[in-house]
Amino acid sequence: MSLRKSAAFAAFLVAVGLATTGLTIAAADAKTVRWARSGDALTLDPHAQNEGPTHALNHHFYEPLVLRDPEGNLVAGLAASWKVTADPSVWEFKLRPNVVFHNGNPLTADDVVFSLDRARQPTSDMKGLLTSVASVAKVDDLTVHIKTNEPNPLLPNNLTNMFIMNKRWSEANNVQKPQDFKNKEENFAVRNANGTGPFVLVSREPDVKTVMKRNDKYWGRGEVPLEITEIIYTPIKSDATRVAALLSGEVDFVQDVPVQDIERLKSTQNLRVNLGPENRTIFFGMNVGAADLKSDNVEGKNPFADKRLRQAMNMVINRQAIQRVAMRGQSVPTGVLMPPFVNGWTKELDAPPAADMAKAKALMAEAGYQNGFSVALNCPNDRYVNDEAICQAAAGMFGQIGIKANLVSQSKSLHFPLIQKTPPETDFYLLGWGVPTFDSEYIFSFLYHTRSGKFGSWNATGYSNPDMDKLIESLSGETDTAKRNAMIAKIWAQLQSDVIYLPIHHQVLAFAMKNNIDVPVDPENQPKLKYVAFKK
Amino acid sequence: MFAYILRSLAQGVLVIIVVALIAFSMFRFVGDPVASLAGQEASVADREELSERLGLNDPIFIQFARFLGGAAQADFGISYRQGRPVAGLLAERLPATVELAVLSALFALIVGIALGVYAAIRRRGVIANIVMVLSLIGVSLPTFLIGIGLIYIFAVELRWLPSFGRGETIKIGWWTTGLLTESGRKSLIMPVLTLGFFQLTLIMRLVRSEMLEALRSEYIRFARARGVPERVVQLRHALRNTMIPVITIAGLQLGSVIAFAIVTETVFQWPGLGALFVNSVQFVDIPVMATYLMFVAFVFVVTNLLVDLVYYLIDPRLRGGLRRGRP
Amino acid sequence: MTAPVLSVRGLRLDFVTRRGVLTALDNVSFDIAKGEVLGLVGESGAGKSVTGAAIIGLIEPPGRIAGGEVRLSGERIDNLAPDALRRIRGRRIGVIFQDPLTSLNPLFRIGDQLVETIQIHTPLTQAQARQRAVDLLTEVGIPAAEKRVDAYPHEFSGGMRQRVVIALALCAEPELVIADEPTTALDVSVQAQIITLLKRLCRDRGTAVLLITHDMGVIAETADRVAVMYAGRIAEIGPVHDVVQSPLHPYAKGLMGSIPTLETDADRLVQIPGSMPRLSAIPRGCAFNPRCSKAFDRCRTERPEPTRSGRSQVACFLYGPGREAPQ
Repeated sequence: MSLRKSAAFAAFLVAVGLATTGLTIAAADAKTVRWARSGDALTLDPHAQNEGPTHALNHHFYEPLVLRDPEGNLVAGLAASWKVTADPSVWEFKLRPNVVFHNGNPLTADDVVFSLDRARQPTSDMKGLLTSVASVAKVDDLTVHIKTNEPNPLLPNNLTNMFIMNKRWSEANNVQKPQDFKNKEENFAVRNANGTGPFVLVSREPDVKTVMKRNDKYWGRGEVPLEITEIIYTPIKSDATRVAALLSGEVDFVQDVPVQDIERLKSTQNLRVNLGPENRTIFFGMNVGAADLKSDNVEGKNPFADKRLRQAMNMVINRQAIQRVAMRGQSVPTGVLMPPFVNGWTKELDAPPAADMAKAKALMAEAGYQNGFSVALNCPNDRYVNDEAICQAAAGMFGQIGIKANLVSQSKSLHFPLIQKTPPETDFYLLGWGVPTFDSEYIFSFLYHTRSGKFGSWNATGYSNPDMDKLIESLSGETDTAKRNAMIAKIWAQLQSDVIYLPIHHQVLAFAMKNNIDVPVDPENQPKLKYVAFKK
Repeated sequence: MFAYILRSLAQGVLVIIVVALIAFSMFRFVGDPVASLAGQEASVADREELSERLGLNDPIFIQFARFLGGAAQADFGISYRQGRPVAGLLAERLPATVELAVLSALFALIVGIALGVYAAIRRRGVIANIVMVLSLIGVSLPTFLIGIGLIYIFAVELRWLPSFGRGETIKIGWWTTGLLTESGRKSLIMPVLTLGFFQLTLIMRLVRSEMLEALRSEYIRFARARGVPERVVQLRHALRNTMIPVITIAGLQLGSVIAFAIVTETVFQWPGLGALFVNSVQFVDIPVMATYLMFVAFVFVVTNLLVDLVYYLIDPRLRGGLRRGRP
Repeated sequence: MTAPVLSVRGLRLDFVTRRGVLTALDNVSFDIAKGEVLGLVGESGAGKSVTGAAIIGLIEPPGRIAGGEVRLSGERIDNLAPDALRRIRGRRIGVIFQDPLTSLNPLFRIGDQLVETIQIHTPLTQAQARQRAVDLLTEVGIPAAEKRVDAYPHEFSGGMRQRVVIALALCAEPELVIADEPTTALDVSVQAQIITLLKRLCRDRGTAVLLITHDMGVIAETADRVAVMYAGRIAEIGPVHDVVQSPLHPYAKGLMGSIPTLETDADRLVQIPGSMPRLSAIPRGCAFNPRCSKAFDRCRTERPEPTRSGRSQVACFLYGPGREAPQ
């Protein structure tokens, strides 16, 4: 290439550049919100997947009987009112009148009965939340009775993501059951939606783009702002690209903001970052029940079985340091395995234990482990905010009292089975826990109760306290709130003194957006855009 | 010739089956799909039941045989993650990847050959040396950094190009194309540059060294002695001889560009097969992973065959009888 | 008196290396008349091929012509612009290289290479050039030239290929042909045919030939005059009969001792102890003095210039005016 031709080539490049400048992205319609998060909903079938992003999207098409507002309060959804009947095992739900599905069909008790039955099908992923339900019955067109196996004062708490479908539509499209993977056909409900929600599905390309427009016949107009006329929902997996898309003005609202970008976005003109605690606590679990550990270097006994050692570990974790180093300040250190929204939470329980190195060392010596020991620490690297960094920081802290934690970090799809298998295949692990029912019982049942039947499926600690189990089981039948809360407090007191888990912090959520809108942080990371108003 | 193609295809099918088998035996190292499929509230029994229903409790070989049996009838199963037939899912994602890969390959090939020829002819020139140093940087820069760098320059700062997605696409039959809309074309620019960059530097360096080698050969000296003008010597005689190794590499690279556009697709949220695969791995979506890997094997088999055929067209010495051996 | 076809005067060729300037040709002078065959002989590395390359301006860096001049039919050509010199190559000076297996571009048909050369140097149309190519192939003894014109080089034997090379060298009716070891790479059985062919074609056209070889048998048979080179200098030049039968220069004497049979290769001289110096270690005075049995003090300090002796010119203090033959 001669010099002249090189120059011509450079000029060509500049020309291409100039040609494209004129075509900057057209300003979106003021009433359109382009929404991005890291992953797409897996399906639109409301009962096929019990998963956060799936529920988050479906909340715009479908509605449950009751739901959580952005403050975490239980508010009326399709049910106008609900109460326990004279029979303490039967809940009565009165439906809102004059609610119609997107296809025009009116909402009736038949739809509710159908939907709750559908959610209890074997192929449903929601059935785990409805194990207490014995039957669902229509009383009249706007009244439904849900009978539970025994009195369940918290039934409504389990219904906040239990979406109501239209029976006639479902039958017409042959979607009476959620997708069965043995079938060769795609279930119609996977990419089509017909709910009562504030938005109507316009188009859906999974993993690419979902477009919805405002439901002008929505029953709640006047109760909520519902100013957005159109939502374009796009998953953007790469953190940097997602943030770039907001900075470049291609999207208006972004979830899953990486902690390292929060400060930068905050300081950018025309952008807003809303921060708030998430309904999720991060903690370490230890195998306290086994006679011996597989991954340690202590023969014939299990160091984690000694409570003094666990107390020492709890004391040596510097939660403020983890918050500063691993989380860039974006976490709420805690001493209890329960986010603040949950019934049973108190400030006293939440206070992290004071770090006390001398006492921790003394306890180690008392337990006979003054020389320390080594054990494998299993950690996910793609599930929680900076999960691997938390483990690294904590491993250094445990090292100060001689516990050599050998970090094994891997993908969540490899990490979770270690915990879920019976017997569990991990001695020491990191886990996070959200509480969709907003009640302590949920935590007790899954994390503290002895693993048996429907209980303890996430309890990989081997902790088994028959007295506690009995107390936990009796919670579900207790209809007297005051009495029940006292029981919860009692259980927490015992569990806290047993030091089965080492709580680290509650996660903090960051929503970033253009500052002409204000999307409040939703503790369950399920923003509901009907609550969003434009700035005047 | 025809027999040769048939034989290659038969070997290809074998390769694909072996790849699928290896893939299958490795899936358990990716994780347990039940962990992603079952919700938080699922009991131990629920999970066990789901595992049984998916056939995950069977020995690997039985699972594999079942998959192959289905695949033979073009039934690749249902995606665990999306609840949709895998074949349709892949078909839906294919056009995005093919468009990206083919344009990247063309970009890499055209610019790579041009720069390589230039660098060889002006071996001692300043510009040629700058290009060579830049290409060294290009080879060592990770793709995602290039992608993110482009995004920050052209999307965030200059706002010329979109940072993610395919823009508007137009459906032609089952195919979707972004080439017919302005936003589609603009969306292609950065992913194509990113994906093609590594191949470009590779091809450029290869062309340069092959070209230098060719320019040293006796027939080039003889062509000059015959009075053939220098431009013709370089662009006709030397370049044509350079093309044989270049086509081999470029052909195989096209295969890997289609197969491994994973990073680029993730960075630009490009709705292609690579992005689908990444999501599938995280979810342990076995039917999608297995089918994708078989598809990749298929692409490699086909590109290999095509490279052989192009070889045959370009080098008269091979035409006597197509030999497997390459010079 | 007409100017000789080729006249080389005081030609000097340097290689500029990091370790200093190496002189590959030093004060080389000779003429070739119309229709005359000048043999250029010497061991490998004596500078024979470089002389040929220097005449046609195909010296590659770091080599450069550092002095002297080259005239073609009286016109100076060593200082021509590259493109002007290129026009002379192939048109006024034909070149034949040593290895016909590598002289032809393997990817182009014989005919294409001929047509290309013909069209560069003559105003013939494509069809005319092709006809001329066929005629030339017939003339150099390719059977069924009409058909073979479309064959590729690899479809020809070595001897046939060298015939094609000859056709290429002669296709523009040049005044001079430089044949650089035209038979060395060929089977002994075809060597004679090729030499005979070359001789006949040049005699018919009145073409002057610079025949570079180390094969004394070929020289004896073909050349009119012969120049003996040693370490980049001409040791002796004269009529072939004189130089071959009664060489004067001690080196030429040694060299001629190697003629006895056609089969013997004179590449390495066993008769003279030692070997030719490398360019970086050419001794002072006569380059041959360390190996010369007749060397005396002057040979080690002063450089002998070519002087007339009989019909030859010889660069040796044993001959010519002021000779000091030690007894």
